[in-house]
Amino acid sequence: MRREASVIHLNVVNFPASAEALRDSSLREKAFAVAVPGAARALILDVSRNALKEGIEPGMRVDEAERRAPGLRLVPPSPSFYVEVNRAIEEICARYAPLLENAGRGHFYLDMGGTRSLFGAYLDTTAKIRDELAEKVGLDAATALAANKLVAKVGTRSLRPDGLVCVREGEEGSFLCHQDVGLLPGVEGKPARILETVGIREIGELAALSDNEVLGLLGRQGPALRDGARGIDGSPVQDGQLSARVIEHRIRFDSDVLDSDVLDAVLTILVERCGFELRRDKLAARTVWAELLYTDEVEGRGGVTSRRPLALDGELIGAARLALGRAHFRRVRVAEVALALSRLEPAGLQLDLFAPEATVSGPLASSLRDLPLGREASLQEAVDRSRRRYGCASLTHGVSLAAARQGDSRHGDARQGIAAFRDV
Amino acid sequence: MDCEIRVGTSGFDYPEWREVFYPHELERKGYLGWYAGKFDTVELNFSYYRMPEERQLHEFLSKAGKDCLFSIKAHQSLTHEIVPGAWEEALAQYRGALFPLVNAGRLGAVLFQFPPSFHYEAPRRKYLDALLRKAEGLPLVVEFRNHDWYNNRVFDALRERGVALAAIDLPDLPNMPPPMDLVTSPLAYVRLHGRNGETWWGSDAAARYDYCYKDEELRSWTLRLKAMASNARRILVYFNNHWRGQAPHNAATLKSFLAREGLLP
Repeated sequence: MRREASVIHLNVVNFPASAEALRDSSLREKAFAVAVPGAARALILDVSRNALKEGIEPGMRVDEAERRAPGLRLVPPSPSFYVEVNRAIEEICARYAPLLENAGRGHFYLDMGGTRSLFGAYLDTTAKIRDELAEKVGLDAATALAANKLVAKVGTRSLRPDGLVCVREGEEGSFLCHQDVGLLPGVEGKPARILETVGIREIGELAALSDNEVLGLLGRQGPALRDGARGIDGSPVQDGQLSARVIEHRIRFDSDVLDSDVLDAVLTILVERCGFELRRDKLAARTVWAELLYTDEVEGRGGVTSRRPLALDGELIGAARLALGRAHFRRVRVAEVALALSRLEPAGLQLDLFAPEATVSGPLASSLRDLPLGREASLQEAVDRSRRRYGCASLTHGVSLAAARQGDSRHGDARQGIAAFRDV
Repeated sequence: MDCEIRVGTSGFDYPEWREVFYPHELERKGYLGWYAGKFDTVELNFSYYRMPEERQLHEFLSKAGKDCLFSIKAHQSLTHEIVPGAWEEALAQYRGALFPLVNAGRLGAVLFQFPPSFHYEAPRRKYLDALLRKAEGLPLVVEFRNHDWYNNRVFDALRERGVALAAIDLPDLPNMPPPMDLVTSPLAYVRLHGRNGETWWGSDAAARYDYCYKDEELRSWTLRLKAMASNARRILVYFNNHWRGQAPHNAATLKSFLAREGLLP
């Protein structure tokens, strides 16, 4: 008896556009695009299926899209509504899946392992979930059942915009073999260009490469991509509903601290760490908590809740300072500082890529309050890219370096100053 | 609902259905008329073994009342025993024979069912492309028994050509195509072959299709059809587990489940 594939990937393709059609039923069956109207050099954020058929794609300039499809209807994005829709999907999935990962923007992974006696065959449960999604939320989803997340994800990508597939356990390689290599997670940007240059078009061709070949071609990330092409993926479904997840980092001092500049520096470092993790998982937070452990073991805690989701370091630092102000109510030395981000939600759109260059004033401004500013988001993305490559501490705010050095005079240079704070 | 769903069986002329589905006293020539009183579509399979003829299809039309839609399997010379340079003539002959069904607006689909040996290789891809072009204008369905056709390029190509990919229900055995519901044209097509893994290979057709679907399996199919219905204008569903009349029994059950969901009148 073969084991049954038990990981579901649910992928609501064109999630923002699909959500907009839920809000406004007149949009159904219409060619429309989600874009920030009035912004200079505005870009298309997402498109409806009918707009896609007319050659309109996300990332395209609005003026070009309008030339290509005269009369194209533009709809401003509503990130808060997308969060609501995402939450409604999560609620349905949570009723079935013991392990549920909300990957944001209409993507969910469900590990159904062990639920056969409760709900029946996994394929049947997949059909039930898909049906509930359509009945209760009004959305279609590409849905794949496979032995692991990676194969399930390629499955939904191969079906887009919707459909259902079950890749049986042990048949991952044969299913992936003739799929476009671009469907494999991780094959984008530089690796995609390299593979195209050497004429690798199908996942099976990448899977056939030896260690040496793939190292020579793609460098250190090569073997992992090749293993993925063979259907190997050990990443677990990250348990926990998003609403219950907390991102937390803390730092304990070698010697207790009184200086508020040093506390501020440490807070900045914690924001950088939490924010990096937040954006890595394509999330935003509404609540920021600061916690202090005083030298006499008394705890101080303060929180700030924002009306809009926060994702960038600049936004988080402001909220974290307010929270710290509420937690720091005693003139006593501090032994440890912690920062936590809660009430997480998927970042509404990948606006770091498509954000407008300039802000908009007037009646549309309210709809844009949820969007990170384009330039700041671009800068953040560049910083994160560097941090992904060289580590989170490789780029930090100057204030944290200076104060950190001041906070621990035993170390002469700034980097060592940071190292003096011991992670807990 | 904008999508029309019809449920029937693959073939109707099975002597072993007497007493199970057909009344004992009913003569064989009355089978189709009786069948059409119960189901509004049928998949004709004889055309795989023997090139159909206009006269024959005329006769089917006259026996099957006014509403029954016919889907018809392509002749083996177009799917299993392809002779380069000769298949075009076979297709022309086959297509010509379908005239009565086309003319009466009673042709549900033309099914090209390819064998497991029909691999995703350049010559086969070229053949399929040419075949679908030559057969353009008919409601076309392809069924692959080889999993390597199940990739995004094939799906896109079928969408571009408006050709349906048959969703097939088979036993859970190695190297079978993956279960997949993908609507690639306004027509969607589902074939349920049974899930008898023990007799699938190395036995005769009767044993291979000896399977009776359980109610929970058909309830699951009800939901899957409901999802497909949101993207299709017509869905044709055929049960091929014909042994001992299990196909019409399961087809009737599925129809009742679909009616309960409001998918059938």
